[in-house]
Amino acid sequence: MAAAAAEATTDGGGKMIILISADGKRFEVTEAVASQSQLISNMIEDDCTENGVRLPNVDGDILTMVVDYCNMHAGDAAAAGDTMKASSTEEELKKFDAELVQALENPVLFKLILAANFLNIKSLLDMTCQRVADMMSGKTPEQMRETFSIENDFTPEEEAAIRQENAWAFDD
Amino acid sequence: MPHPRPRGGGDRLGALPDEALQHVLPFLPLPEAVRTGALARRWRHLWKSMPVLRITGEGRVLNRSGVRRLNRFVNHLLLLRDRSARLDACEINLGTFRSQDDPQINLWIRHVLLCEARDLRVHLSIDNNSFEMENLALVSRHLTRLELSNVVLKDHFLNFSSCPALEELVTRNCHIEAEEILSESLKWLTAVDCVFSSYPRTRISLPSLVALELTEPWGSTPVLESMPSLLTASIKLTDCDDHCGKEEFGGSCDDNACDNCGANGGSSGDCVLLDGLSEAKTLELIAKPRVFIFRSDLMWCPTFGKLKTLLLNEWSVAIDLVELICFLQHTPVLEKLTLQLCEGPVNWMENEGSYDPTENPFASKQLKVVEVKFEKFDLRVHKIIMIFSTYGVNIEQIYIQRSVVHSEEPTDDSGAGPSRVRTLPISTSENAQLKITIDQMLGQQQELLAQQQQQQHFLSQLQRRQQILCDITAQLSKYAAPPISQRPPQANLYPSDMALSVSILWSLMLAVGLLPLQLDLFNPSLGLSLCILWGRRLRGDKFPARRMGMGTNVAPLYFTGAATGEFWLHGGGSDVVSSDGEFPVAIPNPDNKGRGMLDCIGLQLDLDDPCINLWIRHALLCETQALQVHLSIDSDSYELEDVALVSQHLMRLDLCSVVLKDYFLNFLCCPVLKELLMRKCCIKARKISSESLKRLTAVDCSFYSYPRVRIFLPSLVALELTGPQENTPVLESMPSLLTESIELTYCDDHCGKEEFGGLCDYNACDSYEARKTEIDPNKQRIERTSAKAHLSIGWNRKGANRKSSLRMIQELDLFYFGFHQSPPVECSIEKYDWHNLLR
Repeated sequence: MAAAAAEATTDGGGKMIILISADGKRFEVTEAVASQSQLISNMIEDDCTENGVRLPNVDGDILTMVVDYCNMHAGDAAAAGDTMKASSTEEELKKFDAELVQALENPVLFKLILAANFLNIKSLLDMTCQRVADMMSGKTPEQMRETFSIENDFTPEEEAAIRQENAWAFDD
Repeated sequence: MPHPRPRGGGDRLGALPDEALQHVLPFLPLPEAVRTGALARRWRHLWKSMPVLRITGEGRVLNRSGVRRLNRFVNHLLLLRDRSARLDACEINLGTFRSQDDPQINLWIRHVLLCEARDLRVHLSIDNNSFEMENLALVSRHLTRLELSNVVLKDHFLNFSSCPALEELVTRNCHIEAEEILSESLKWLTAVDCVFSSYPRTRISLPSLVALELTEPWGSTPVLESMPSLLTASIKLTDCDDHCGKEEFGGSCDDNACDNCGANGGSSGDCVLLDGLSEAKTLELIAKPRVFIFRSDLMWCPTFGKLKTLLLNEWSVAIDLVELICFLQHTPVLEKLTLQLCEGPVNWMENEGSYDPTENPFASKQLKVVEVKFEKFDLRVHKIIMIFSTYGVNIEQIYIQRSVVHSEEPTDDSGAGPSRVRTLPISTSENAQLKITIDQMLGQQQELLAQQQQQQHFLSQLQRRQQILCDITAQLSKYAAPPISQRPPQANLYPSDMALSVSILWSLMLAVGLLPLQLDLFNPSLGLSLCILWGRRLRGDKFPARRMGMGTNVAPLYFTGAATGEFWLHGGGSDVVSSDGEFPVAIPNPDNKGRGMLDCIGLQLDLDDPCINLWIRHALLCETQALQVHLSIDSDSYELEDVALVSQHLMRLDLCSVVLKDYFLNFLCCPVLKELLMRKCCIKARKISSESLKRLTAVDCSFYSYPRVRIFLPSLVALELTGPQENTPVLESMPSLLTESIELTYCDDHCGKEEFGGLCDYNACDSYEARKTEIDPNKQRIERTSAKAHLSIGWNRKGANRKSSLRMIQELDLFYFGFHQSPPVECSIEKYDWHNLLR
């Protein structure tokens, strides 16, 4: 796969970059779209995207979402590629984001956070983290553990000690 | 780089790396974020390294107790968070607070700056817009962006000389009570709805500024100093004080004694705005016609050598076209001019002779695009079109739009310009008027053509003018329903690069969180090695108290020697009882080399006040090596929080007049603690334990009675136990002990009879029985002290009892025998000799 010519130039101008997911799926995106990832942007600067960018941490289905997101948010740059998305306005973007993030099951959401964190796409990371925070908010530690299947590995004494240590945050 | 996946697979929150979880936490309300520490081991410390802090009142109106709670919470949060963790942004966003106490925002700001925060935002509610930011200069090499709303800013605060990285400042609804806003580095300044001080005018001295937005300032318009790198500026003046009543009625103020106008020319004699803007490439100058600033500035009209795009509104044509023409004559490279004539003139005067129509007003040979937007076709528009059509030699396009500008519509950040233009149908009468104008122009064109026939070398120019006029005619004819799609892209209200820069500014503003400033005495970067908290509480109020914030009697506390690595905070001998919640933290100025006195803050000694505990924990976080806590004698019931101290660095602990309990006296988490001094402490613990402690001194301490306090210090080398009260503690094995000094005076371990020199032979004597239990371990402990050096024992009337226990000592070299009643007797006895003596 690496041998494939990963660089192509569309008639819209702008270099194309090939992203390769952990399970070998390939995505062709414009440089402008890919640059939303700070990781890839740095790679572009360093000129090491010629044979495609391998993303061993990101599955194909997750990368599909990430690419969709980036295409949607690439603004004017996307105009060169996808005409349908070229005219996305602020409201459409917000709607798109809200739908994207609301529809996610927890496991997918966490994988998306991992991907956004790895690729360093700040807006996507913010959005997904906000979603997790929304799910955590208003819950007691017990409820949080239940929701996110967090194992309580404290002894009761330790937990009491921590609560005492942070008593200033527990009284309301 | 693959992150190691914790057990449990990728479908759980736990699968996320710490970095991602730390990104999640700031989105939670802060107390909830801290509470996640109790979820599981992995979460325990995560909250301490959150890269973003959003301090909010959670939308509540804060009353007195709410403010206190907030202060307590934030102080804990800031002092206990991990100081080595990156802090990108801090945002303080509080709702209304109604209280005599203020949130300690100033202190927090300074603290987060010490934490190297880069982005700081302080947003208060409009109800608290008289909140004063402490008038001290901000000091930070890392701060790049500062955003403030609804606060009062003064001189020192607005002197950003000590913030060499600051690039962006946004102030909204702020009171700017300063003579100067000063920064060498600032690139973007946005001031919206701010009130500027009047006498003298605030001077904005920002030599590196690239973009300026000054929207609807109140008070006196500030003076702009030279800004050589300026690219874009947008000034909008509406309700400022700089207007003269006469001008509202279309008249100009010729009266030199006019208070309003005279204030400008008379007091400062400066050009207020335009001089500073003379280097800009793009300018947007909007003002109500009655505001005289631009007009009076034009008396000094500088040349705008780089100006390419200019937007003016009706003020520039308020009195004939004098101002407009003045601009045109001073803009040699102007390419695009936009005129917004929304407000019709009340009484527009065409001053004969003010402008010679035969004189070419255009300095620029590059003016290509002229846009005129108006609501009502009137004489001004007529005259403007006349001028441009006559002399606009190189003008390629003139767009004339009859429109209503909805400036209140939200900014569209797509870059298409913030305002929408709506075109109205033109009535027939207006159409007729337009036709007349055009006819007139065509007539003039004909005349010119006639002249041209005589002057062949003008011919081409005239043909061009005719072309332009035809363009105008064509456009005017479209007014009934001009299709928007046919309008050229330049018809945006704002020049495109301006709009772009505005949108960049906006996105920057949104992207950043604002932090206020200050907290923290224990700056780890100062290499703190000694930290001493010492408060005295005296009755009475003999010393002048310093007022700080809402505090009542806050005496000065002095801080010395940030650079020496020592930190002293003490009460200066005066009354240091502050009002509640005041946080007694002195802020070392990182640049302060000397041992100067700094300003300080009250020390709170209310018995239920948690602050001292908090400082101790913070000092330990700061890797303090020596910690001294001395309270005054009358607060000897102050209980230190019963939480184990945790420090890899603490070597010396000195405590005076505090109450100590079990967890606190368990020093297993202080692996390098070498020395413990306790004076007048009350020890309410079962055990004092430390693996590392070498030297223990306990003077006048009272020990918990039943069971006796056990002192478990296997590494102890030197012990001094002087005048313990209540029950003498039990010493456990101390194999390395070299020196021991014990003086028993007022302890409970005595039997009344002995005061009269007798021995108690009565087995049922309560005191004796009690002592028996004491003697046993006592024997043991001295037995175990394989003391090779000095054993010094002083006691009062109890020598006889001690003899029995001392017999077991084998290798003693020197034995000091002290009696309180008589001068201490020192005797040096050879080993064998004193064996005999004891027998």
